Amino acid sequence: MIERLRKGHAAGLAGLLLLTPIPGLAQDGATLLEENCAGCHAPGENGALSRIAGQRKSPEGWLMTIVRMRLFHGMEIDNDVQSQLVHYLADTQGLAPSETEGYRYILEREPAVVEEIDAPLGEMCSRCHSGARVALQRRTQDEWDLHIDFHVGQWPTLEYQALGRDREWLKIAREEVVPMLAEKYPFETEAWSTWQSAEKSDANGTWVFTTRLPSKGEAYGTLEVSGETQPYTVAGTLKTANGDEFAVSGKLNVYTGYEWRANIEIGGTTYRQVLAMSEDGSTVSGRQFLHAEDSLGAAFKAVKAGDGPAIAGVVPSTLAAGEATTVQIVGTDLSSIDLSGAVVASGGTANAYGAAIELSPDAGTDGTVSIAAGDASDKDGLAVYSHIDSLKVEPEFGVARVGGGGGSAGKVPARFDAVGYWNGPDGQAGTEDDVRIGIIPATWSVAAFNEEAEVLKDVEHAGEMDTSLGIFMPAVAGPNPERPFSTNNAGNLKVVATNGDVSGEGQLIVTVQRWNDPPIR
Amino acid sequence: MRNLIAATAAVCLGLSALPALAKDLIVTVAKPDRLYVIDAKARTVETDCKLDFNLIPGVIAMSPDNRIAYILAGRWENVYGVDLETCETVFSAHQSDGDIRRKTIASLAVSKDGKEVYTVRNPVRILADRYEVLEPELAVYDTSAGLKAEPVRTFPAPRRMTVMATGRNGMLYAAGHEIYAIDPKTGETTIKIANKSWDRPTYSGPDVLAFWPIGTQADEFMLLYSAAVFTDESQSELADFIWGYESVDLTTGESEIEDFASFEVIMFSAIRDPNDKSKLYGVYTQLSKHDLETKELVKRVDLPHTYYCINISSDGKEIYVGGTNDDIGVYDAETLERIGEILLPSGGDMAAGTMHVISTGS
Amino acid sequence: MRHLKPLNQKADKVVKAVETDNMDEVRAMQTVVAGCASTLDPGWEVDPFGGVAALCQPMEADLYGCSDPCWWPAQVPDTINSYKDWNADADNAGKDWRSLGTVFPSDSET
Repeated sequence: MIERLRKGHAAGLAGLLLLTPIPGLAQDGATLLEENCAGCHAPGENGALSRIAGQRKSPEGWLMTIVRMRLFHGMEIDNDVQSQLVHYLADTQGLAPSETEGYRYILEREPAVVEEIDAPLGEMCSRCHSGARVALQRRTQDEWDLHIDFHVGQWPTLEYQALGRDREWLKIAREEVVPMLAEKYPFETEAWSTWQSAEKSDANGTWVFTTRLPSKGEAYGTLEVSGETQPYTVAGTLKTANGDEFAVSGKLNVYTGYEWRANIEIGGTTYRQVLAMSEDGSTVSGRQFLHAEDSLGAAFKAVKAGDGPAIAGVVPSTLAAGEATTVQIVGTDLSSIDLSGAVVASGGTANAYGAAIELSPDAGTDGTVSIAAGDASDKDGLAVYSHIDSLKVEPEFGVARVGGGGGSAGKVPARFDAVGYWNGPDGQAGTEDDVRIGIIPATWSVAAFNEEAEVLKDVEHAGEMDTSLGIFMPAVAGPNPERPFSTNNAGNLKVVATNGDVSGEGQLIVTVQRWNDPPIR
Repeated sequence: MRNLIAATAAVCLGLSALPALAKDLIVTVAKPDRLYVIDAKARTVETDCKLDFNLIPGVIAMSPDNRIAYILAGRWENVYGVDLETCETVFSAHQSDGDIRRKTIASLAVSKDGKEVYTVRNPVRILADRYEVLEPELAVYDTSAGLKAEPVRTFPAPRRMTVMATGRNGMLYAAGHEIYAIDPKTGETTIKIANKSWDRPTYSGPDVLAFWPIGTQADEFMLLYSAAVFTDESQSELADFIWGYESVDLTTGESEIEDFASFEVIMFSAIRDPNDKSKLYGVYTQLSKHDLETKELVKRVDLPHTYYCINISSDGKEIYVGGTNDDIGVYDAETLERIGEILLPSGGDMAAGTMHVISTGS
Repeated sequence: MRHLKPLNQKADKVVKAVETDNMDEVRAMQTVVAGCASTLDPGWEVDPFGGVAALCQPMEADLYGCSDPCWWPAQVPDTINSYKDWNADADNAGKDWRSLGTVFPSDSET
């Protein structure tokens, strides 16, 4: 773990340096685009640059496009100019907030989302990369069409790979997929024109947040965003559920009026935030993860101070019955709190993070608790439990990757949560009326997933499960001469979480490195 | 161009000058820039040619007299003919020109009279701000054209073509969506073995992963396919996943297609015993021996690592597995025991390069 | 709630069988997470049987057989067009894998 923290620190500092100040902006963007791109992208009759003018995408999408021009086509561009172009393009040809809904997991680098992409896009596109990579772009029909030629020209064996060679890939792409994409993901949308003309919210101000840190658990705190130009300065405090306090500092870029990208340091470890501000600017949410190990992270939610009462969450969010605990209602302007449901209480003491309230629910209490404070509420924001009927491992299916060992690709750990449930009215576990308690403590272990994994001794070779954190740290990369076939330290494992007499299982594939790991996978 | 070993080998070997010296030679390539000719039984490298071109991918087709190895290289764009006696490049065709980039995805064959080399090339026009995918073409080169060969004929070809082989009847057999027979004089293309269009109502379409030139030892163009088999034509219930082989006899032009096993392990390439075509050997992380008559798995052994490419000695007694790393494994065809190995001196990977067995003498 | 995806044995008819949920016996079906390859011939992250034992063994034996023919270009840099010299100075993947770079430049972040 120490090694991991050190690594996070070093990579994080590099990350902070990337957020270099951006002078000027807005109208300079058009000039920069002309200066850097028009050499190959000739302006059309309306002066718009070829190819570029017919596309909209996320900040990461534009970054990947410019990087591709550098790596594949020899474009030379200063890093600060690249940053300015990404800002300009994301601001003028970005995606409306609603256009990213349902696909933000790929921007957030969620490690274990199983996509369900319908045919033909599932086989035609997302057999190689995520379906979200497609869904987070908007193009004219001509641009979708040229996108196909680009794919076949750049990666000519895509017609030869499994799921490519069994069909007339190019014909299907041109005749079915292009019209479908042009209809599904068109360049011109109501959502975008509305968002373009909407007044954008300011990130500057005070935010109160809740999140979970991979090895420290539930946490909350404040972020103060300030500055006239991007990147903005972020400063604040983070407190863990057990009372540890850390200073927070970092830099923030905001794209397209809502896409929040920050690198922040918390107690010496650099984290990255990929968040979205709500359209009214009152909340920001998404995922915060270790900059150096982006598979380790959790949901992050903040509410902005200054607009009346608002609640971001409750820490801790689950409470064992029969114990006296101080519960932090995380939010802003919370003068008086009312709790209803399994625990009824009111009052609390206002603090910088909302309000704290002492609770000692009776032994035997089981149920959820809703919180209200003025206009603000958090339905079922807290669960109190005296027993757990069943336990599920989330995610059900995860992927870790071997790494390190002197190679360029770091280990990719996997983290699991144990989520407790009550049976609900039918008294049966695993049915639709089960009631979710929330994340509960568990003891973690791994076992061979099947006979093959048993024979190959995957448990012995693939890595180590932290028994209390649910974090699996994979083993070192490279051929392992001690294994049959000198195979890598890959493995197919069953992940087991146990709390008392209930337990749950998930599956973990420990696999090999990615040598190509762009911001959108 | 050549190193000392190559020079010595060239002098000693005299490929055609010593017809009495009947032996098998393995021809293969390894990174970074080597073409090797290996005495298969002696497990020794006879010729080590240092090449002066990018070797990716290193798909080889041999001239019928086994003097020249035609190598697809230059990142799948160029074809080089290398004389095995002198290590000299005696033929080259640079397929891309101007703003047209042309890649050949393993579609390389030599006519049985040695006079023509065939490729299927996939052109893409590279413009300043866009690509334009063009239709594939069969290109026919005159092998005597030297170092700047241009096609003497081109014909439209189907997309997604992979490996090819030539028959003694002058036909070119090529694996794409179907197994095609192409007349390289006229470009006329017919379906030799139906794949995508096969009439097997209880089967899914076949899947054919064809990158390795397989079957030259047994004088056939042979590929493996896998497919799902259903219990009936409604295709609602799966009965099995199977392996089958399909083959064109390069002398008679006759073809066959038949299932032979359940899909239990992956196989990347396979070969039949030239002296007993009921014996089929397939390779991946396992080496499998199948009896095509009884449809029985005769034997299967684990290999030290995955290999892509398989070949067999002329007498059918030894199996060679290669591709991937820098070692060629030698297996007893009867017991599937590893009886030898050849480490390539450069220490570089064969990667996707292919491995041929040629016979000298008679 | 099954997230089966057609593997290498794909074929539209197999896909249809999956949709009708008749594929319990199909060995060549698997779930992969977003951004992992479901081109399972035999696969980069997972194999056609849903595990890792039928992947090429070890990965390094297969690495240049993936980079050079541009198989899994979203996971492995292709030398066919995109990263032409990615493995130019590392001739033996099993021994030289440590000198291979990951290709997205570390100087570029949003």
